[in-house]
Amino acid sequence: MAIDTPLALLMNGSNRIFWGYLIVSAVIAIIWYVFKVGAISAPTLKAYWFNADSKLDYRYFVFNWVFKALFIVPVLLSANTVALWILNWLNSISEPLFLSWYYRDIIVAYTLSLFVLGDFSRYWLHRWLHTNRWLWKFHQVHHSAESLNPLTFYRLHPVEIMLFALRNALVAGVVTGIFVFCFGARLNLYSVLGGNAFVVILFSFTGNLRHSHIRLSYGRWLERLLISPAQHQVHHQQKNIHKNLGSVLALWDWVFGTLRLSKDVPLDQKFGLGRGKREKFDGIVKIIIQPFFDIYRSIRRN
Amino acid sequence: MKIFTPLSAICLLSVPLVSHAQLSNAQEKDPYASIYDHVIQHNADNAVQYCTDLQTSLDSKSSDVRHRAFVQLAEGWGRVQASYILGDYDMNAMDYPLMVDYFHSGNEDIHESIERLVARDSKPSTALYKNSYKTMGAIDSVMFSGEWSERRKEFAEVMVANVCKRFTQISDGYKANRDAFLFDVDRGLSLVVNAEIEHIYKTRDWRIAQVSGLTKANLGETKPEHQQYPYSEASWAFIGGVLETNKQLLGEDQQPNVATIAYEKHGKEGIHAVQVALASSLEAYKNTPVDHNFNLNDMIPIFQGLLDVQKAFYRHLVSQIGVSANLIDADGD
Repeated sequence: MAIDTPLALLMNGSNRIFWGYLIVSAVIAIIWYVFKVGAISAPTLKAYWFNADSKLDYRYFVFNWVFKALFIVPVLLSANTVALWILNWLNSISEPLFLSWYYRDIIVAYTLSLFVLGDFSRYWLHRWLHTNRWLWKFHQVHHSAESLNPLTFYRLHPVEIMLFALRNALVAGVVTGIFVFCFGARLNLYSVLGGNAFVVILFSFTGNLRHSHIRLSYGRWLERLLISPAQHQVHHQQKNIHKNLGSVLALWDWVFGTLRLSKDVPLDQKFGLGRGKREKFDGIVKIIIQPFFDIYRSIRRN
Repeated sequence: MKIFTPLSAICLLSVPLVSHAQLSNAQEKDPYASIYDHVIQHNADNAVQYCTDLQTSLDSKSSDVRHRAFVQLAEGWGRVQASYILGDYDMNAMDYPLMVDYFHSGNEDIHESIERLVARDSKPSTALYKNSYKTMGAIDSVMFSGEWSERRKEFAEVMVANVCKRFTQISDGYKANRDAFLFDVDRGLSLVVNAEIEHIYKTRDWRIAQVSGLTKANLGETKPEHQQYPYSEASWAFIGGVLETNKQLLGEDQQPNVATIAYEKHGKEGIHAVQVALASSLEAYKNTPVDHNFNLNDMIPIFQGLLDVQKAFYRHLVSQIGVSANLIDADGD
């Protein structure tokens, strides 16, 4: 399982903070801010980019990368391994199918399957992080931020990183194993800028605005299908913290009853876990240790 | 006007870059053209020639000459089928392999039907009305399952003419679709590799395991009569043809080929495992006793070799598809 360097993350379109996506997000943000708020001033920018939360996000972003490179990537299950398990298992119970679909149709089906099943599994893992009392202790790290910037995306406890990586390995591996079994070598991925075409087209250009104060809504109709930056900001508000759990598609929230349209929520920009909670996670060591300490205390109490 | 200078400089600097990109692109296409011309087209043309030789051999009094010609064609057919991709470029060509060989298709006992027809006195062209009666299996039956006679020769002439017509269509079809293959080389390569995997699997399972008793269903039950061409015993030559095509496509000494492209795109590791497995399969093939008659123990090395090729192919495929989890992309929200 490969891992990019922090700088390479900016260069590869399969990453959230690819420079192209950041520039598009910045342009949208500037236009939105000028029209909705007014002129952008240097003190405002400084207050946003250099507040305590932002600085913690920058530090933790580097720590996060080092931790992954040293401790997670070498030991974690990869999608390739899962794909080969699935393939060998299917081959042991049946003849390979070698279905004669059109090449183009196979690629569309494969790309779409990875996108839809990937997004569906992200929704459910995210939901589990919110509903399971033990996992919530770890996911609180991400919700402790009271100021959101694109790098807040990386403010995740290592346990959560591992869970998401395992989810990705299982989903991508199972889908790939099944597709190779059905179609052999006639398999490819439609990609744009190096990322899954569906993710890039539907998500990536506004993805960095999710963790920001730019309350960009998609409107009532589209917000039932796609999660807008405003909806994800609603999710980061304490009052709606268990709503809008989707990643790209809002469809899952709509179907499973966790949808909250951005228009239905007052423009209360208070992010985080509530008064006095931020201090529990205001340093790298605290981010790592605090969830375990909370779990220990819960066990002791019970 | 100030903008003109940097803009001009950028334009000028980009000219050699564009030329270089085109040049490297052209170089990259070489292995694709080589695969098409030196393997796919070459093998199809050879099959046409071998078929013509078989037609000529039908006039020979020597059973050896006739037998050699059929074995040669079986081997040539194996080479063609191992990388058959024409059906993906021409809908009409999807069924050509079935028109050439009915092995593992349908439940009819072709040998029994042919023998019944030979025993009658109807015209061969009328009697052989079914496509399946004019395929390689039918030729094997009519030429080698009984005493050679004028009647069998007449039947064989109709059958071989049909097979030759199909091989000519395949050869011409490849000539007509060369540009389409080279227009989308990624698609072309995936079709070639898919054909390789499919026929490695079918060779291992249909032509070896099911005959020698190496499947779960028939473990230990060797049935040489289930081989592809039981009367001429040319099945072994067909298997050799499949292996030879894979050697042409993957062999280190046969480059530029699929291996060349794999090295460029994904490095040596994945494809090297496929090459090693293929080499051991070829070795096992060569070392199999001449009088093996698909004995279970004699077949184990080549069966295992082909299984290793298939697994190595899958490992290489899965890794090159690029599904390996990018952890950053896999993070939460």
